[in-house]
Amino acid sequence: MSVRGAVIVAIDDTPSIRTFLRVSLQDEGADFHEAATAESGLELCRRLGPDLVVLDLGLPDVDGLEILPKIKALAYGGHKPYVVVLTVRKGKETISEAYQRGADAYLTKPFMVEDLIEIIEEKLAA
Amino acid sequence: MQLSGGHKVTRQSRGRILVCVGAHPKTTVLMRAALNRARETGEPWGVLYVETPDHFTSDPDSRERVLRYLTLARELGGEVYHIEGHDVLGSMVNFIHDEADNGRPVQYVIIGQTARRGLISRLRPSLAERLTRELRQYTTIVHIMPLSGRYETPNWSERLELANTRVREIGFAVTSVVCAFILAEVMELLISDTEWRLNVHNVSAFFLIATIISALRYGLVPGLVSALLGFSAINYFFVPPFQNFGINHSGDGISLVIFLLSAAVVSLLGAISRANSTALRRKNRQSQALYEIHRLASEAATRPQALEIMHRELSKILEMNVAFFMPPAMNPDAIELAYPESADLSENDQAVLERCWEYVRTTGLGTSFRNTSSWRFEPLLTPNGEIGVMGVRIPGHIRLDASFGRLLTALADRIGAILHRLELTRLMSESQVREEREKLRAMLLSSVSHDLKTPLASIIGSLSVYKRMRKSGRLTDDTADELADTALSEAQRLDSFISNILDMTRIESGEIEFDSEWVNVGKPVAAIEKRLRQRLKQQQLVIERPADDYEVKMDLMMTEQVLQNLVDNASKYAPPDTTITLTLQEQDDGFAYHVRDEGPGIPDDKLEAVFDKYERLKQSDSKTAGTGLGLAICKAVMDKQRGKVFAANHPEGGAIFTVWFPIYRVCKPLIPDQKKEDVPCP
Repeated sequence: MSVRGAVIVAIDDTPSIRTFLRVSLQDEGADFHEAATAESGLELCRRLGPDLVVLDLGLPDVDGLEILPKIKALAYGGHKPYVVVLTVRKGKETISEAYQRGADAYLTKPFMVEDLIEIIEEKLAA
Repeated sequence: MQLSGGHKVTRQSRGRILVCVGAHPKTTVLMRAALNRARETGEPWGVLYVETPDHFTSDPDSRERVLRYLTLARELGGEVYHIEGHDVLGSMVNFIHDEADNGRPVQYVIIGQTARRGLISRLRPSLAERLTRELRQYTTIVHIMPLSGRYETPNWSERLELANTRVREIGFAVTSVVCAFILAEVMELLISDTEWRLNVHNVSAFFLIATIISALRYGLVPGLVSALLGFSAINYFFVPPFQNFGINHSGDGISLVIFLLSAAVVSLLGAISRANSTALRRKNRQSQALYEIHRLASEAATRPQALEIMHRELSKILEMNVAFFMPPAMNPDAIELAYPESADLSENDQAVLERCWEYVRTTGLGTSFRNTSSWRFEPLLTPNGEIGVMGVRIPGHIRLDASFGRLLTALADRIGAILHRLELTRLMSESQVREEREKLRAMLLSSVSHDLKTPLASIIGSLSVYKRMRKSGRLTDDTADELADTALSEAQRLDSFISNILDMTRIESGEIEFDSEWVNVGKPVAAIEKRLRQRLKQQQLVIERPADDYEVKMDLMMTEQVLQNLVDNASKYAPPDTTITLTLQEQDDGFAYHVRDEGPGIPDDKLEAVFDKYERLKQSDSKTAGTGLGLAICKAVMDKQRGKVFAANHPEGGAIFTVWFPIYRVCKPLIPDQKKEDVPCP
């Protein structure tokens, strides 16, 4: 599977980050959706059954680490969504906890969009 | 002379040496003997003092001596057993018996024997001899040591404490006799003449009552005064020949003598009972002191507070001057008065105090290092060593009892413990503060990194998307604009965040100097109005200006910053399509700017906290975008301008922030007001 046609949900409370994610991923041909809070993001995931979720950790209502397992628990058509964590936190404990909770990739902000797309492509190709 | 009573048994491994002490001036000889023996045999030793009711009627010197011996014994490492009883011998024997029962047998008793004088004294066995006899059934060895020199028993004036008898007490005795006389006269008027003649001897009962009351109330001397006056009054007024001191009938003489004797006995009994009750009361108060002092001082949070409380309570309970001495902060070896502010210390007293501090031992009155001081100094000890000295000034008229030394030592122990506890508490809270500061620092760091990284992430992300799309040739003008706008606004956000941090640091460090000039209140608003309107894309800004021209003493630039921060803050929390109102008005003898939004308002418990620069740190790292320092800067700026900034919730909803300046004037006054400096604006 490639980025083109993939359903991708971005959950991040910073509008400008959502903006450039939207622009770039739509440009890559993804079916892009976005949410600003954990609750609305989780709801969106339940509704859409995305192929991949880009998840910020510092969300205003619930911490991203809390909803990570819930997102991973959603399974549509036999596959679980991939989760790419996107955060400013770079503590070793946070990173290992994110992987324990089911993250597939961990990218610290700031980052170049090529890196993110590369990771997304890699995950979706697997 | 060494006597051993009963059959000898093999010496027990761990006996004890006991010295019986009294007020004899050579008692130290006994203690020295005990100490020597204790050193030889390695056995523990102690002193036994039996306090009889006599103790309270003996002279002050003897009492002080006993106190000194007991203190000395403790200093030399001996136990002090201070027991009370009516009978010295019986109490001693009971004590030794009880100790043996409790598995702490006394193996060796040292007791002194004074030189005998007078026939009766020679015939009567001495206390030492009687003790030896009593202890026959024990294996205890009694060592009797002769004590040279005469032990002066106190003379009558000392025993009666004539010097301490007050005029008021004698006056009371006289008054009681006068009352008895009036009662007798009233009786004479009330009953028939014949009956009076038959009952005249009964008037002595009135006078006896007067004597009893005087003796019970004020002791022996007023009792005796009352007895003698009563005797004279009866003789003069109620015994024929009347109005004369003679006695006609032998029967009258006998009644008078009986009256005098019974009155004297009553006085004596009254005095003893009074002495006993006084002693008991004092004992109660003193034992209460130990309890009270602990309870009260535990309420204190700081050392000065504790010293103040303990000083107040101890002075009250002991009825003596109390002072605490501590080393000054600069010189830990010296000792100086810590509480109260002044104490009456002579050079001698000072030397005694310094000795106490230097040698860590009790000095002063009732100790071997007395040096004519009327103070007694106790070192205050904690597990970390000596931290100060407690001084008690013992007034001359106070009847010291032998347990006083023990009481003071116990008090000093408690006070040392209390001060130690306070010291620990202080150290603990210091380390807590340090820990808290460390935590804040870590939070600040993480918050700053979040606040710096998030806009940077947007900028870098947007620009990298721009470049990638540009390269692929798919970049439309609209997309380019959108990405550029995003990057630009995030860059501005980053700029304002960095400026805020720098401003805060500079304001707090005092690097920024504040102007204080008369500025028209409209000026800071006009300067930022355009900037604000540009920023407020989603809300509408309404400015309500006053009808008059006002001027306020302010720093224009900094005030602009404050207003801008407040409006920015309002725009972050207010929903789109609402109004933010900036009102300028006179308020509370000052001039105020109000910024009101139509947002959700502020929880009541956060109204003050919103200005705390650390407040934002305590929240998750992703709350509403912003630096979290804007309001803290407002507060810092207004503090520097001697104004105020505070938050409230509007009754109709939304938050309302007020910036208030204390110094203002009206340029064109409509209503004359003396408080304002009404001058025309230039």
